[in-house]
Amino acid sequence: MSYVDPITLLFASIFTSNILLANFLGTCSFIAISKDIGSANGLGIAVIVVLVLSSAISWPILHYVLIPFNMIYLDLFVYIIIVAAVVQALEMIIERVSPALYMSLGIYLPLIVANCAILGVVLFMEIRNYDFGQAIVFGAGSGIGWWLAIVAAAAMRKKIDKNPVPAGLQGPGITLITMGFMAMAFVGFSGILRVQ
Amino acid sequence: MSTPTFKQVTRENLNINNPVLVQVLGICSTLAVTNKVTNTLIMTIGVSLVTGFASYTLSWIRTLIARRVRMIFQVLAITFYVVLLQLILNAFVPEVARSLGPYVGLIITNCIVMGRTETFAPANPPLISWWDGFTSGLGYMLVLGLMSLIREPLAFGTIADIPIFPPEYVSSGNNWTIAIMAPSAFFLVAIILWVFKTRALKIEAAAKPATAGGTK
Amino acid sequence: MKINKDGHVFTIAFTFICTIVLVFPLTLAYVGTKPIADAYWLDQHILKTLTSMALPADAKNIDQARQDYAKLEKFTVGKYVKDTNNKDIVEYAGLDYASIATDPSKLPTVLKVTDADVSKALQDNSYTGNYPAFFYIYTDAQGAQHYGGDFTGPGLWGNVALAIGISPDQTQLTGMQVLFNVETPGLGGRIAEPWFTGQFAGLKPVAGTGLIFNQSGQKAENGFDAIAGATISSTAVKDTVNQRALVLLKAFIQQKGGSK
Repeated sequence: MSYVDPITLLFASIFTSNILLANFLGTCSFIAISKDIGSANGLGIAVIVVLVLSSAISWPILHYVLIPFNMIYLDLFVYIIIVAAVVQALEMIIERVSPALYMSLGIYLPLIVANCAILGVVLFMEIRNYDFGQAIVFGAGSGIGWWLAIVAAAAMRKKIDKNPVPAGLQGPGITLITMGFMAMAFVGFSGILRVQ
Repeated sequence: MSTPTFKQVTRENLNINNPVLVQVLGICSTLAVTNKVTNTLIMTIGVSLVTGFASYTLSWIRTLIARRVRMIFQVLAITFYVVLLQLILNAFVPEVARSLGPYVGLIITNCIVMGRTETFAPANPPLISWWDGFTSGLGYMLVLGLMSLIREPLAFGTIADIPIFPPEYVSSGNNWTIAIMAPSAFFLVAIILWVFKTRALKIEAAAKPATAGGTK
Repeated sequence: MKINKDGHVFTIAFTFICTIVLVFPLTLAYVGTKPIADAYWLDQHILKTLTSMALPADAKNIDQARQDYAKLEKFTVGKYVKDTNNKDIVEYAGLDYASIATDPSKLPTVLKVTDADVSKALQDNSYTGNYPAFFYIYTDAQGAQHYGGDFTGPGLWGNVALAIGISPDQTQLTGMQVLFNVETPGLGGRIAEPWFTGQFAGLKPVAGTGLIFNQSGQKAENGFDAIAGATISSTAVKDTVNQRALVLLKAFIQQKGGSK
């Protein structure tokens, strides 16, 4: 309905309404993977790719199948199958085309099915009534925002690991506190842009 | 492998192996609704029921399942219960259903549901799997409920919409708005985790010398 | 008989049976529960529309409210088209709010609609809240015309649909109610709470600016208190009122010839 231009939408989904820090989506895999900057980068890129592909596939199915046939109550079913199928297909393609890439990226793919950021973005695309272009830009922006957050957190955790942390806070505890500070920093962006 | 008893499962899930505190699982979809006690309760009851019934189904069908499609069937069974929950909420508590909006759907990817149906259910009989799923949800409810009990009064001066602080607390503008914003949720989980882990480490440390002394 | 659980036949049959077993009960549950939910939201819509126009609306006396609502004249922007059964149905028009704001005569011709049209529009959009714009006219015993309408705008997560009423002299709002929102529960979702919506009755929108937020403790004639911690949702309400509701209502009243 309302038209938000793609550039605004892209920046808004990266910064002002960061899928991880403002909407809490994808926290589980974030905590598990942000230990190491290499894996963080790999998972982040995988999330971007899967997000763009799943929004690109879900949009036509929503608008040309679910809505015309009045089956919107089955939307969750359809979306979760799409996400799982995209992940599975990507895994197979990467494994055959580039074994090297598979070693660095492919191992993170199965983790993505259980990443709420993907389903969350597809659901937002539905309830916000995005058109096809907006859906793709929003998918890409959310993915980039997630990637940015996880890479930044991994870099910070590297520094934190060299410093004394109370025994009870080590591991997930200090990561959550780091995320809290990052979320505070990202709250600062919210005055800049507004998007639906 | 022996089947764990109901008592063991309860103790594991509610205390020593609490899904949020030990495994840091499943906070994604529900962290955002911990700013109100009512919403938190309804969401976490939903998670408990979905985990329970999905575990029951997965466990019941475990001898029949086609191994190649196990993962996708697991996700579909969870989705089935989530959609059912959503339809029931829509019809009988429409206001709550609408205010929880997209979060109910996101229960599907909640790592607790995924984790219990993946690890416990395929190895155990249906009834104990149901109980395991349900108590995992309750363990989750304990932590998130505690968070909402801290966040709601600080921000709105109420618990489940019943005022507990004098009205001046909110009208004077001195209430802690930060308590309902995203950062505070992260800090609170971290603090609860810290307290719990410190306690666990102490118990462990106390237990160690005792056993060491025993073997001497 | 030994079943090969890794065989193609078993895998395909299993998937097929499971899909049917899972989808069929859901369809039944959907068909069974949809009317309950729709009836609830239709009644809420009636009560909220009446409240926003400062007409009596009592949830305990819903029959009276339904009758009162039936007496309102209802309009929408769009055109009538024939459906497959050769019946008239309303096709809603997309609106260019910015150009209507500069030139109210750009509002497409409004059409009179029935209660059934409104209730169908609500049911069709019950998941997204992407309601078309509706306008209401209520003529009181003195012959003065009260105007109201439902308008949808973008919120933080999804659509925000508001019912707005305006006084016969068009100087002040008679009320605002939130018909649909999926804002963050407990934060932006508080736009639907009575303390927030109650602020709007009696506000006097200023030409050009419309409504504003109250600045620290000073209550302006056209100001309301934003929700702390939910700036985006509060702004969504403000913008929907200023850039859509007031713009369309003004254009609608002009098109209808206004009450003087």
